[in-house]
Amino acid sequence: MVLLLVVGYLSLAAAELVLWTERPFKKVFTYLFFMALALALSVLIAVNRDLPVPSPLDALRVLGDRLRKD
Amino acid sequence: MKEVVSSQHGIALVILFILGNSPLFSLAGQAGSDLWLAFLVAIALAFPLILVYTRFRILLYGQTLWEGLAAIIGQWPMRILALYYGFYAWRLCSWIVDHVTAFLVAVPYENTPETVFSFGFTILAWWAVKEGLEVLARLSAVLLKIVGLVVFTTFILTLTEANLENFLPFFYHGFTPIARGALQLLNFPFLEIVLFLWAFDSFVSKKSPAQIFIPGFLVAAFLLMLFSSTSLAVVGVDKYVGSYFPGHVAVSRINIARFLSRLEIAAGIVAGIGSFIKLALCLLVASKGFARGLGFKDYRFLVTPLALGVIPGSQWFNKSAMEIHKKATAVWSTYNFVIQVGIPILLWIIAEIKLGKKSRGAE
Repeated sequence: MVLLLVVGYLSLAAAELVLWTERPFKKVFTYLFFMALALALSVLIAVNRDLPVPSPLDALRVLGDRLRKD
Repeated sequence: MKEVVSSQHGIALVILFILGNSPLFSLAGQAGSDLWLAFLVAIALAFPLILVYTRFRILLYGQTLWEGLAAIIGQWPMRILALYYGFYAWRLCSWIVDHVTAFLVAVPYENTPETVFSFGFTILAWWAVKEGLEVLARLSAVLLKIVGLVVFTTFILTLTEANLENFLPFFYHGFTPIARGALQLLNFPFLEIVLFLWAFDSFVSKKSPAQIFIPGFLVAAFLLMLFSSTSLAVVGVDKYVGSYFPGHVAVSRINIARFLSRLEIAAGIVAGIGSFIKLALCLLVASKGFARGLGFKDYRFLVTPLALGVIPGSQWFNKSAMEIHKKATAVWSTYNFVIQVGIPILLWIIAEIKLGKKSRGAE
């Protein structure tokens, strides 16, 4: 499944980049960076369906509660 | 490239955006039989904020959103805000896809994998966003007619099953449940309209923001009130609060002379079209936000990776139908409050101080 995802993302990115009329480095880099993020999330979800969602506000609340107790 | 949308098309976009995936859920269920009062309170509370959004965009008239923001808060804070709202919009995309797929998998297509629907739905939105805001707005104007016709027909037909006693007694549990219901409505879906601050680069005229936001919001809010109140009148308070998709249950009860029945598809059509427009607009704002935040004028090249990210994102944020329902009908969210109320008010105050005099002078 992971291999399938990687191949799918790579071929899609390659196809789309070929279709661009201009390929400035900054734009290509940003596009590939976001593609890599999407691929990483896809792979992580495929490997572990119960991947926890980061919640900075909850972390702050827990920290506040702990400080209040101390 | 500047994308300019006419007022009529803009109104259609706002109406379908607010309707969006909302008809799926038991909106303001906390208020019980006083649901309609919760809607009225929520409309009254949301209206000043809609005016703030409108005034903010009027103050920026004559320059694009990004130029205006850079002028009032500076280049880097504008970029950080764009990234922040871009992430909010992308998260909302994931939620919408999650809501729709959960509905499809729970009701009509029990044995189909969620990914099939999320992929199809996202690809459709990807295509719409690639075409741009103007095409999306024109499409909304066409789709609104279909949605309006379906809502009106369904409303008339469900009246045969409605029992107005379900709205009694008034105020039985006091004002607290009504306030809770109203806060839930503000959280989702009324103030999600904040994304429109970021969707339009510029407007046709100075009055356009007022002509788009205010009637669009009011029409959508009253349509939702009608839809939810009718659902409650048909299924009763307990079933409205207890079921995941009460609108669908209410419409499925239509049975006219054993001939006109099994019309559940009507609820699906409204939610499907609304969710598609909402998803496409959120994807557009996400692309614009990330592109501007990273210093690009063109946003279209980011649509594909962001759309692809929505598919796993829709399976990431919520793990079950119960969690989806619980989060969608949550009364309070600090994250949403900052995005929907805090930052827009702050931006409006800064804009009023920096641009208010000039704007009034021009009038």
